[in-house]
Amino acid sequence: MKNLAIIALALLPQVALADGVQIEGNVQAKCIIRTDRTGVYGNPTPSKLSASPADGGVTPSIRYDVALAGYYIARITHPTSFSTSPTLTDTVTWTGGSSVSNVSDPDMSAYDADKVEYDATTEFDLTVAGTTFFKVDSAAEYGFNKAFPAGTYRAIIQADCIAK
Amino acid sequence: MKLMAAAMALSATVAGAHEMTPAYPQLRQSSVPEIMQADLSLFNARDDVEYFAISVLDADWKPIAFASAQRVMHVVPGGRKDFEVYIRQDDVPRVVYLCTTSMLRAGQEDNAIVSSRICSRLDGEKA
Repeated sequence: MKNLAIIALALLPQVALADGVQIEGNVQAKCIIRTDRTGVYGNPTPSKLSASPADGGVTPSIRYDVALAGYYIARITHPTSFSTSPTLTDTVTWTGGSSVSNVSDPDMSAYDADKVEYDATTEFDLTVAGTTFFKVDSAAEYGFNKAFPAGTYRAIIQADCIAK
Repeated sequence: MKLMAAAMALSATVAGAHEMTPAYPQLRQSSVPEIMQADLSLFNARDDVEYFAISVLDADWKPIAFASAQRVMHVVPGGRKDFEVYIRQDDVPRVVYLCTTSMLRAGQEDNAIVSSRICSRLDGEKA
């Protein structure tokens, strides 16, 4: 009888622990920016650097994940200057833009039609929850058919996610 | 054509994420009179970034004075950091955005060519 009572007492804390274990979750509005693929500038002509695959480059890709629809705006600014380069004595003309490359929801296909462009910036209203991949085109031309000096060139893309 | 090292640090599958919550933090009274406080959390899954700058901005994206334990936070890849931002009561009506921006190191030779910035809104619920 005494042994039975001891065993019963020993079991009590375990029962209490098993009862208290739970997992909680919380879904809230949030935005995640991922650098899916960084870019590479190809050099198709001496005066041009381009991230287009047609020019031997690799187009950068940025992934946005939003947990809830309609809470954020994606704002992507393509480069307008080099962050790293040899000394350049002539002007550089920049072109570029951003567009949707892949989506997790077919409704996101409207993002491209609804995007707003100004200066070097493109804005997308993230009206659908899920994942969107944006590709960023970028090209730089040096002077008037002038050859870029040899060296390493880098430029930075600004990817913003702004609560509405 | 002469060879030109024009690489933007090639990497076909760079994984990395920058996340900040909440989207609409509530300003609350701090322990100091006339100073309001917002509590946020940043998650860094970017392999190429370890530092994030905090900024507080008005509707025209002009900076507003604020205080925080660190204006530039060190968050190791895979790490999460909770942080507080303190704003003067008088500035609260002008405050709209609270942002964190990934900091890219000068001369960095790796893949960091995307600067990410996430902004929460401090002017109330979703517009």
